[in-house]
Amino acid sequence: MNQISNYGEYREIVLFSKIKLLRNVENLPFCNRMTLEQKNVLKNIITQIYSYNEYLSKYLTMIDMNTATDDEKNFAKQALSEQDEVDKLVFTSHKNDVSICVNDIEHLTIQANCLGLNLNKVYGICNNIDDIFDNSLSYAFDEKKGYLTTSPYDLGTALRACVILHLPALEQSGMMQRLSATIEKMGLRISSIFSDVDDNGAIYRISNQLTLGITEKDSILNLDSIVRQIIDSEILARNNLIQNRLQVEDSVFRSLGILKYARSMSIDEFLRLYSRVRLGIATSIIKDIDLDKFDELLNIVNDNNICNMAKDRLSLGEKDFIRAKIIRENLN
Amino acid sequence: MICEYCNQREAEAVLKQKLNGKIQIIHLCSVCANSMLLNNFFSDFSVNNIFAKNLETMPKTKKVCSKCGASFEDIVSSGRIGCSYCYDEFANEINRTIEKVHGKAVHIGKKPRSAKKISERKQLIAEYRNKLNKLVVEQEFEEAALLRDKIKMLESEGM
Repeated sequence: MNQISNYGEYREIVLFSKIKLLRNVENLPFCNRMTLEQKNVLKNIITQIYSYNEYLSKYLTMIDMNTATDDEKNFAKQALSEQDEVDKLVFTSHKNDVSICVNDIEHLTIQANCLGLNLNKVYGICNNIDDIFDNSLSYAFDEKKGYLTTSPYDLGTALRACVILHLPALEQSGMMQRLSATIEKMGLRISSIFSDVDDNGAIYRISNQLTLGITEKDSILNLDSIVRQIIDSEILARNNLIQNRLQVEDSVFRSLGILKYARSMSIDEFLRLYSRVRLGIATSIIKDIDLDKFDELLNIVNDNNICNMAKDRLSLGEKDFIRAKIIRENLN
Repeated sequence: MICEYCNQREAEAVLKQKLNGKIQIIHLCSVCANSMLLNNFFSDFSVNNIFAKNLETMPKTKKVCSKCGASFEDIVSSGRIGCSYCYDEFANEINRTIEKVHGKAVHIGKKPRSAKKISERKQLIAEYRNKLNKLVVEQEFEEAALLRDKIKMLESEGM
């Protein structure tokens, strides 16, 4: 399971691939209607399966959100869908690329991700974990509706797959609007991963919409093939862009300079600069910055994480100062 | 303006979300905003809300789920189903919304172990029935009686 940290393909364009399986256990109400007692029952059942299973207990660490330290909580929170962490359990790998959440929106959320594009591998991991639980407990399931979930939108396979892409060249060439419409027609969904910003750093999430009446395999294949087509056009667009090498170099290094030395930085400005510098790293204009480390900045400098680290409510200005400081420390 | 997500507190923040190339504006209270905006890498929060809005147009019912105690009102206001039993209990109310989302599609993906057993059993019963009919036609009554008992046993397991 820990070999997942192997890269998928197209790392220079794909930030990561992620799959989530949503599962509920038979004969217990869904999480939003569970009593504390029922939540504890579920926690105990899952903990037992975990501790008796060699594979799970070897690779995953259990974090009980009620008793965890702040650092553990911050780490495990990334796996949760809800902000509220009370009465939840998180089993996570040390890199947080595989995780199982208990008592989140659904009884069980099994998720895995990897850097770059490799949906099949990520699904394989989720599927294996799903089988382990399936052998020891009964899932809420209906012949026609498939796996029963809290939201009817997930009925069927209850599988959510997404790929996060960096598409600066397509965005710059003004193709995104047309591309979005096409993607929508193909039954997929394209959205920005940041919701409260004007500039999204040309980072897009493409995910499956269909869960009922499609097999897991086809669902993943469908997403994978469309993502590959988008990647092909991004590569073409990048090649076009790079022809103007001097101009691109100037914009890349100018942006890097600001990231390295600025004393205050809003999330919007960061994303705008991040996008240009990432393009520079991906096209080898910048050679001495590691792409993985650079991408990690995205996680570190978002408002949420900065507040968590400071363990305090910060004003906008304070956040911008801390953000700039973290970026400087990471890049210099 | 009241928060469009929890429908309880006063909205203080505006959330702009780019979805399929269109910008969607949602008004949120500070509590919901904090839980969503900041942790929006994967969450698909708008979906439940849309589901709830879909349900609001359905005829109101005073029924309460006998398993989990959720009323239809609870489901509409939270956008979340109460338990697996609710899907049967509120079938009349929910099914049309499910059809709007998924069409008339039927699950064809993975099945859990328990469901596999059931469908295997159903298949076996159907097979035995065919055989039984043939045996009766061939007037092999002794064998037919044995087979009939087997079918009865399988059917009682499924109860």
